[in-house]
Amino acid sequence: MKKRLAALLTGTLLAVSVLSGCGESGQGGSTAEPAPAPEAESSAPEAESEPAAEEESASAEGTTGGDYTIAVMVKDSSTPFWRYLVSGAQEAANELGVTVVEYAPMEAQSLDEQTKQVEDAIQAGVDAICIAPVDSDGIVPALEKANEAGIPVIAINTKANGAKVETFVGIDNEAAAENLAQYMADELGNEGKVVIIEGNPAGQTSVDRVAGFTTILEKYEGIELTVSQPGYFKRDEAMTIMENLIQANPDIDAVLALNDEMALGAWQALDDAGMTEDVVISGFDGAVEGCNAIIGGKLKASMDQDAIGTGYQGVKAAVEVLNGNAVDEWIKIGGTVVNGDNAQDYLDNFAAHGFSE
Amino acid sequence: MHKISLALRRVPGNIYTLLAITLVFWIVCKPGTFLTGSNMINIAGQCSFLAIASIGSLLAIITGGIDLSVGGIMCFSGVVAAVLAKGGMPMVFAVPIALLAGTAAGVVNGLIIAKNNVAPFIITLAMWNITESLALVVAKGATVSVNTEEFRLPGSGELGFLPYCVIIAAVVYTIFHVITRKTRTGTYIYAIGGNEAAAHLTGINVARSKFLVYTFSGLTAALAGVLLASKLGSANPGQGAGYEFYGIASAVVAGASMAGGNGTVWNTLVGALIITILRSGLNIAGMPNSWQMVVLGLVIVGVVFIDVMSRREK
Repeated sequence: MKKRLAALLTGTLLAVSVLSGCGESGQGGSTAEPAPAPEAESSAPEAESEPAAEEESASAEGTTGGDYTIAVMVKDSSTPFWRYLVSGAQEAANELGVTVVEYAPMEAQSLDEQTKQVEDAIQAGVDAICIAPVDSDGIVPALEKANEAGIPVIAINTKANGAKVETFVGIDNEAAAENLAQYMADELGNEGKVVIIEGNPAGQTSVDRVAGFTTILEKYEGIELTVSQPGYFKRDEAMTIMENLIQANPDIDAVLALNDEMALGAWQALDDAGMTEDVVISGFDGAVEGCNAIIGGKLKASMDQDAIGTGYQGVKAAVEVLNGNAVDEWIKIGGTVVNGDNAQDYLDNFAAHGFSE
Repeated sequence: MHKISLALRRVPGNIYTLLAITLVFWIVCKPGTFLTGSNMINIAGQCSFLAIASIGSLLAIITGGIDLSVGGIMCFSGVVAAVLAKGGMPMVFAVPIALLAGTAAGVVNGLIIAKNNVAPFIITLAMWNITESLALVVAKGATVSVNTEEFRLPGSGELGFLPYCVIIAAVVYTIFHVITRKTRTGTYIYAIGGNEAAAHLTGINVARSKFLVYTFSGLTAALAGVLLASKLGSANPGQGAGYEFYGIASAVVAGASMAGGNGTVWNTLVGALIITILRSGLNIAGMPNSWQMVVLGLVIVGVVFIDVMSRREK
């Protein structure tokens, strides 16, 4: 009995000391580092080890954003895209002197967990919520609770189909796809056999991108268009789909994949068949691997989704709302075609945020 | 004095852990955020789904088995309820049908495990896959969203200040406390976990008891799944993933041994509360997600370690 109590007491003390270090990093971490955090994940443990240095610089910097705490909720914690987004959010927090607390479900894309996180953030008394809903319909009840608590909600990357949302920060998928399709049509000289590798037919992202592609490509009589089976945004699935397509259509001229992952899967299949010379491929994301693939000649082009900018603009919009300023209904992000001319610039920007792979 | 120490000894050991964790968060979180009435109700509400699902995990563990299909059954029954409700069926019919669907999966688990003596691990793992796939089929691969007041009532409605799901959890716990402690079936379940061969020799119908255990587990998982879908106002294939492991963790944190034979219903409630408070408290304290799993894992190891040590002491 005594032993048990002693063990519990030690455990409690230990937990308090560790957690209070973490709490400080959450509070001060964003205001303390003037330079962009090298990686959102690693900033926490670093901050823990030097709490003294942190307090100093935090008090020296002062606040311009009214000392707000803003919850940034993403769909999972491991995908590079969400790391970029959180890093952009941190950058805005540093500039504006507010605190960003990141939430991500451990079970990727879990609505149950994201709902709990919204509930917990309300209890924690955050000032605003920037959220990328894992499910546009399913998140609505949770966001209604935030509405009831008077906490402004900003949708980032993915829309919410209900509740009161101040603004949506994200790419216009259809317009961006039209942009990219136009670029690819020009590259092809407005003729040839084109394959679109579909993502997830049930998802709005997929539907919008396919619509944008087809709107442009169907304008040209010389272009023969095929929409593939869904590859669910996965590299291996896209590779299998491409292998099968090659059998039926050995004379493909271009592949438009709905993201970079699938574009690279298609490239792999074409490379195995020795066809990469005759086929131009485009992706969609414009992240580090995609940019490298463009420079390396695997992909012709991609589409800048600007994950960093999404996080940055999301936090900025939250501060605007909290300061009582009006924001646009839709803050559009990205939309630029990434190609051989500008891929290096994008890579440099990623590297400046600490993402080189 | 002697009476007090006796009474203290009867308090489940993990109550102290629960208090210790609560104390930590009270100190660490921003003043006026953690130990508030509204947050206690928030945590009780979040806990009720895991608490109900944990009963199935506990019963299987008491018999020395394991039920890995809890998350899958939750997902399946939730999707069934959502699809029926979306089709316009009143909740008084949709809920029982969804519960039956989930319980049926438990019945199949129970029949196979009881009659053929196959390892529960394999059967319930297979049932997890089957129920998740069935959920995909029923939901046609997408989220089924039913944002009607009627559908959302059991999971998110409140009686006064108490959420319905907390009341339902309390009723379920009382029922299973009576089943495990006051009925013959309960005694048999513990006896089988203690020593299956001996239980068989004393004339206990081992097959029947095991069948009941996995059927009950299917029922509690189905109830948790329907409530979760009701709370979220939607059900999607994949919802409920992870609950099988948190359920097992709740039971083990509560002092149930994986070898079977012990663990109580009320202790499991405390175990589920510990896990929920940890998750929720870490969110409120603003700990980055990447570290939350580490803390959760360490606490589970720590609690089990203290439990084992204190038992050796006795």
